[in-house]
Amino acid sequence: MTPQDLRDLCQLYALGVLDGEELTEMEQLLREDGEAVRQAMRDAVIANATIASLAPQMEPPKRLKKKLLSAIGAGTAETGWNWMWAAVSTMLVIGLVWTMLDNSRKTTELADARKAADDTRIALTRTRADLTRVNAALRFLDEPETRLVGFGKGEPTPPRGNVFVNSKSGVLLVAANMPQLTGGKTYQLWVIPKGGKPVPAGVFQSDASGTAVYLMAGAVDMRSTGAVAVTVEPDGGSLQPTSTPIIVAPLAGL
Amino acid sequence: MLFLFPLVAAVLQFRDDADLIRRLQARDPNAMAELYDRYGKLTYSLIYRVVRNEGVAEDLVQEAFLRVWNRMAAFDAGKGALGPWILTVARNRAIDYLRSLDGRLSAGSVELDKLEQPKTFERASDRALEMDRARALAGAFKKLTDHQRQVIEMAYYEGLSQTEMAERMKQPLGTVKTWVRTALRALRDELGGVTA
Repeated sequence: MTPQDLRDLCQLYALGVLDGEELTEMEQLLREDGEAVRQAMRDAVIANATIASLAPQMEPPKRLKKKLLSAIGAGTAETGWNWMWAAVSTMLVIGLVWTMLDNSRKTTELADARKAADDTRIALTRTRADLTRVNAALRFLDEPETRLVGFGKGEPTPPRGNVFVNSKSGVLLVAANMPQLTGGKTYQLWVIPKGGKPVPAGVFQSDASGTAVYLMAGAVDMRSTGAVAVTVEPDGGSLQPTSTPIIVAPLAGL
Repeated sequence: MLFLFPLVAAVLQFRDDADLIRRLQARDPNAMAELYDRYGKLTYSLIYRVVRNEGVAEDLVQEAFLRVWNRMAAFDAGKGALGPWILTVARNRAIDYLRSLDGRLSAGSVELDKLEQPKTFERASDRALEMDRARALAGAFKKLTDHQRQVIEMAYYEGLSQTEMAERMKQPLGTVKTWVRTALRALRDELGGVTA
């Protein structure tokens, strides 16, 4: 076998394409492990790699590197940065959305809180006004000159209650079961002189339960006053009653 | 066949593989990334030339690099030729795939695994893989006759034995062997001292 023949055999053997008697011969040479064979094999693998590397150039897909590194439990540097940027971006977006939602929520909460505060303020004002009225009513009731006039007793429909009259302090109306008013309506108190026209004595509202407490402050001429009445009037009241009275409390006999 | 010198040169011009080999042996993932940067394109090109399928080529490239990664401990950083080893492993994976498709894993075939042991590549120089040599090699390939080029391509990119080549080409085995040897010697002549 010439050196050229040996190189041929080694090169074909290294390619894995040797068969038949030549393969048997080559395997025998390899078992003998001579230096010439070893050198020929080293040359053969280099030559084969060089020839094989002349394949047409192809661009591998970019994902291949990532897949490969992922397979060994690593990521590309680019991938790492991409992940980091993706994470940072995601966090920023989440933060922005959260901030917007939070601001929106805070705005809503603030608006709700302001409304609640306003409602509380209104309720407090009403309570204070109610308290003032109640205190005034209590003082009114404590006055020895105050007289009581009942109304509605025996009537088939409400309301019922009492009218307290004090010649120096005025008239206090305490009524229950007042009828619910529709929009744009109010109760109006009238002081009706004997043989005269009703005199407007102020407008008021009942609470949700239909209870009304109204104090008309001012002197009342008990001798000339025939009755105290309540009608339903348009908001702001009327100069003269425009509806049938729902309460009439005669002062006769006081 | 299309020859691309820059590809060969770019991939095979690396002279300092020793440090890379040591880092690969230390299981440094960055070294694997560097290895791919050096040889990924050439490996993919070679495998694709054999299997002609992008998806299969991707899988086989991955398999080839993982095989190198897992066998790196047996590679001698001071003596081994990394590029030829990787190309050999890559080609063998592709040829194995072709043979499995064709049912050519016959008893008479050489197991390609045996041909890619790291020890085979020790003390082998990859000087042959330099750019000027690659250019000369491509020139020599062009000078081959059609039959010679055909048998070389069948050997390198299809893994056919000379007997199989003869059957496919419907030529006497002796004639095919002559074509193969004439072609190999012409190419080796271009590779000069490395394979002399």
